[in-house]
Amino acid sequence: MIYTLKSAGPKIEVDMKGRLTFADYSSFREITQIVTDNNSRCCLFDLTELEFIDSAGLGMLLIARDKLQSVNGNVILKGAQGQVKKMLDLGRFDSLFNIE
Amino acid sequence: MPIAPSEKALKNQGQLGSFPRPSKKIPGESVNLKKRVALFASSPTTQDLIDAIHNDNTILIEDANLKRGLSGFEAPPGDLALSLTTLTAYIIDIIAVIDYFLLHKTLLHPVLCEQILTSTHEVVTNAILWSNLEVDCPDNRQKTLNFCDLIKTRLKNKALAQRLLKVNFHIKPEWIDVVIISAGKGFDWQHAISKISSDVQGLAIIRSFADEVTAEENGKILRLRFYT
Repeated sequence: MIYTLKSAGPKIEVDMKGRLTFADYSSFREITQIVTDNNSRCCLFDLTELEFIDSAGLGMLLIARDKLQSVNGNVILKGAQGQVKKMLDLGRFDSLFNIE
Repeated sequence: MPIAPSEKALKNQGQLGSFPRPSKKIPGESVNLKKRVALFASSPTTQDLIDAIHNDNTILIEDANLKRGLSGFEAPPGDLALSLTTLTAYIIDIIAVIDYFLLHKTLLHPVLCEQILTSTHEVVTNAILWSNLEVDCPDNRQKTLNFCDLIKTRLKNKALAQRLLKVNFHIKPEWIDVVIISAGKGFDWQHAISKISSDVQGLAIIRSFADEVTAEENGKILRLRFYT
């Protein structure tokens, strides 16, 4: 997975591209660190260009959600399609996240 | 005051970029006269594997780091048999390899290909982490982010890194079998199934997409069947 930080601060926006899998723990840890460093309360993940996600990737999104909820913040998921959309549906993520 | 993200974070190139590995095929080195076998002088890259699949209808791929004969050569024409070390399986983009095979060497419906790819990837991940690298399942979701450190540590252990991982696809008109074989400690499939607590767990995803799942030899052999 390749990610691009589009904006930082109280609300951060992250574009994800490629595949979010168990090989991306290191990259995702960087993202959660950015959230911490910026005292962010909202994190928007743009998944438009994400082609594939596995159970570990879903778990990472839940970690971000846990982290933001602990400071009364939230995570927004945007643009999921194809396999990624199906996996989010399988995990009933619409009941766990704000989905645009 | 917001802290600017690191350059590394902004220019993240993913895991694969940090493991450039030269590879060279051994010209003409086929060890089975009836079937073409792609052998590699060093750890194959993702592109090596895709090239091998592209160029041949009988696809048996063996990682040079495996002890000769360990993988066994079993695959009729049209099937795919990957025999890799755990290290290679972790480094390469195995999703891309399987995706290429399914889309270019089979006539399966794209939706079925997607289901096979997703569930096979989950089993391969389990085989790498839980079985071959013997990583323990964390008791806390937050701790999984530290897996990257644990995986790197385990991969430095040559005995674990060299363990065999096989992924075999058997394509029939009525069904597709995917057999994933690990050489590690395996796992108790029935126990793991009984412990599923979330729809996003790998095992739940496997059960959602595969029509049949069979475990043998303490979970070291997992067979997924998909009806066409």
